[in-house]
Amino acid sequence: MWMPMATKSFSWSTWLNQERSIATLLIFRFAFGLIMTISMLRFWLNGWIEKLYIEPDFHFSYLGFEWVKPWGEWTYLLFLICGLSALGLALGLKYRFSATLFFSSFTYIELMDKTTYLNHYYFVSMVAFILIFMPAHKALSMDAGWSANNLKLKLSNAYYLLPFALVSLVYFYAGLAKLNSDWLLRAEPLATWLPGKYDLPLIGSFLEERWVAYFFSWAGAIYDLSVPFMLWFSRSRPFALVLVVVFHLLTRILFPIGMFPFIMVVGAFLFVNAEKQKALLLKVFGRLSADEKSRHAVLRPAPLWRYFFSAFIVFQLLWPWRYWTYPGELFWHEQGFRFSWRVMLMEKAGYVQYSIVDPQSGRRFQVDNRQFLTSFQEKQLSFQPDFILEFAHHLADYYQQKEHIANPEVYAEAYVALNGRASQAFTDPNVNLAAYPRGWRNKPWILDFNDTIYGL
Amino acid sequence: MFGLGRYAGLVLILSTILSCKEDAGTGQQMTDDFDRASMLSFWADEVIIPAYQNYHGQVLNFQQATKNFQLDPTEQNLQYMREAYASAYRSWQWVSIYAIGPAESEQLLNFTNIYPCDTAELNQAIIQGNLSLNLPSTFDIQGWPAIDYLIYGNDPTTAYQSLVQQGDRLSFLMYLANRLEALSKTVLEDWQNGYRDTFVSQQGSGADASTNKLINDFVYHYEKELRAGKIGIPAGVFSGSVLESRVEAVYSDTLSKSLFLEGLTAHRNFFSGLAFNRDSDGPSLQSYLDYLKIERGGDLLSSRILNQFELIQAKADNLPNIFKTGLENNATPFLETYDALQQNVIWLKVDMMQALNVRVDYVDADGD
Repeated sequence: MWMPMATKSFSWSTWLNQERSIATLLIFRFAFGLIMTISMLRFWLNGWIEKLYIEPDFHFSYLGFEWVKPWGEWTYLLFLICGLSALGLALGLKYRFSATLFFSSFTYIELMDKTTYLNHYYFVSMVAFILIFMPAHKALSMDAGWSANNLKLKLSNAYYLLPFALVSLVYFYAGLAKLNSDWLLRAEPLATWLPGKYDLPLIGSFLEERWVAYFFSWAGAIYDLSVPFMLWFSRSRPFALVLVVVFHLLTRILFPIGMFPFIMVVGAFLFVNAEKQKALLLKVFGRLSADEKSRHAVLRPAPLWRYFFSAFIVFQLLWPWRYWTYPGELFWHEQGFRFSWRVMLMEKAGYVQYSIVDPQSGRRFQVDNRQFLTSFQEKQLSFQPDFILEFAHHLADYYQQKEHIANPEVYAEAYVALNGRASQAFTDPNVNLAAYPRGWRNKPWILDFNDTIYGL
Repeated sequence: MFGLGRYAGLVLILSTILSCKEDAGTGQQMTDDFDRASMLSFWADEVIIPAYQNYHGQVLNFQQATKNFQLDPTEQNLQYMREAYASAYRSWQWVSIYAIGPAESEQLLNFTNIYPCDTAELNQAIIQGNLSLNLPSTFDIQGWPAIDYLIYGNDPTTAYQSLVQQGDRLSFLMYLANRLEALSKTVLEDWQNGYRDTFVSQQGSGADASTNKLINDFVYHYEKELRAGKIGIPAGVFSGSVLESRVEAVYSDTLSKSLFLEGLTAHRNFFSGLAFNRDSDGPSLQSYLDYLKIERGGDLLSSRILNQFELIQAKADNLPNIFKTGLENNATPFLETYDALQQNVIWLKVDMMQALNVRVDYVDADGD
């Protein structure tokens, strides 16, 4: 029994040293690698490489990653590398190399343009990062061969803690983020989103009912907060797994969230009893030979790696709280919003109109954003202050270089509507954004949110 | 899985509690769904197709008037042709919003109303007898802006004489009229023979569904054509100095203003659900918003938008009759009209599209 707190004398160090079959990790490696291969293919076939990375003239960068840009037509090669390395990871072929290559190429793709930011892409990056350090190729792989005998291998929980912690943390933090007055007391944004799904068979006609939005909001918050605990304990686990499947199927039907539901379902199956997973693999790959049944090896991370893993978990625990260092409403200014498992929390839309002023002549004119951006980029730009600032700098560069306006001033007048409230002015239209540096500092030119959202 | 039944029971109880509480709390129950199917058929049968029928009829008139002028270029026939032109250009304002289906695939707007006309290029094409007008590079030497130049020009009298004296100029005009007629006929017939049913049947909520696409088209047209094209660009909003040459129908004096006013009314009527022939009204964006009880700052969002349309109308009434010379004298009424138009961009594009859940594009996005 590996369960924590199963006995009164539970201790972490004992638990960390306990052994679990490698089978869990193998199934996860295979399923995750395969899903990611399919994801890359899906992205390609949907034409999104062209649409998101080749067509736009301008790309929004993360701070410090301005050097990460699409490769023009060669971006297809990047996706090919990413897809093939995911397949290599699934099959355990040159495993460490494949895993490293997959992590690097996938993360590179995500860093090319923050317009496409999704929490689940970040999750995939983090899982891929973890997998680099996991001995997931020691059995049933191209590297170690497909002999069922390798299934006798075990890993210490010190390895397993990493994926367990990450999956639990994603759920729990997503749940914490829902503990706010918009989500719980106004049922927003679901009250806005669900009626738009009126065309679904069976449930469609219910989705316009207010109580359905409230039910989904509360159920979603309770689910997120409790499911990691239910997965840890063997008594509640079967029910938790059923919930996970139902919940993610539902989100897949209701929202455009791509492959995320499948990834999370695979993540939840990490918690299934390892011996059951081993039995499943034995059914597929044959029996253990009798003479080797007695011998089994246990893989344990070296102490150095233990520190590294701990540091990773501590970072994951703390990083989402960085928004506390910024004044004002997080949903409004979004400083510290990303990379924090805040999923499906906001329906935000906006409109931003830039004006350029030539300081020499005093000439003032407005900009047509679509001259530079795709409709998707313009939508993301319109309500995210870091986008608004970055694009202002781009405009300043453009008019300086292309139209030879010396030190052009750039002003933004933006209006944003959040979670069913009326749109209100978002930026100070009298601040020259060209003179305002990008960075982590609080952006004082974001106007105050004229309402209050209570909670975390 | 022994515990499953117990948990399922718990969820059921919980859901019942939550739902009861909510019902008791607000006391408002939505009994029937908003009838989107009838909104789509109203749009198709009472708004869009009648507008195309009218437009095509007007283009036929213009084509006939041009033919008559070609046979007998009298001042009287010139007058008839110019009247038919103005009337057809005005009726264009009622269809250009609906860049969906055949209008989208035929690039109707690009071939009909890209202005300003590149007059140097146009004169070149006439001299060379270049009649291949299918390339994007020829958008700005055809359609109404080119016709505007040919029949009015910088000086109406000179334009008349040029048409009479230069046969190839007149036959180019005839060619442009024939093209507009063929194009509008294709689009109208596509609507009547098949696309109407496709349009009405795509009732879903996805990015490809008719409601979504048409709302996107409507808001885009309002922002780019009505606000920027007709007012903002000529008033110098995007350049810092007045660009009177960018006025729509720049050669025919008072037409510019009436084109703008027609366009404004067409947008407002679409929003409020008035049939093209104005004898009935039907389900619309206004009634859709009201059905969803969308309020902003204590008022119905739809009333805010309609009040703003009234304000725009009031500002537009102050505009000079001749845009071109009016702009040269004083751009202020144009800038005021632009600001009034701008406010509704925010309410339509931010508040309305958010409330109606209109997707801008099909890509994965989890709302953050």
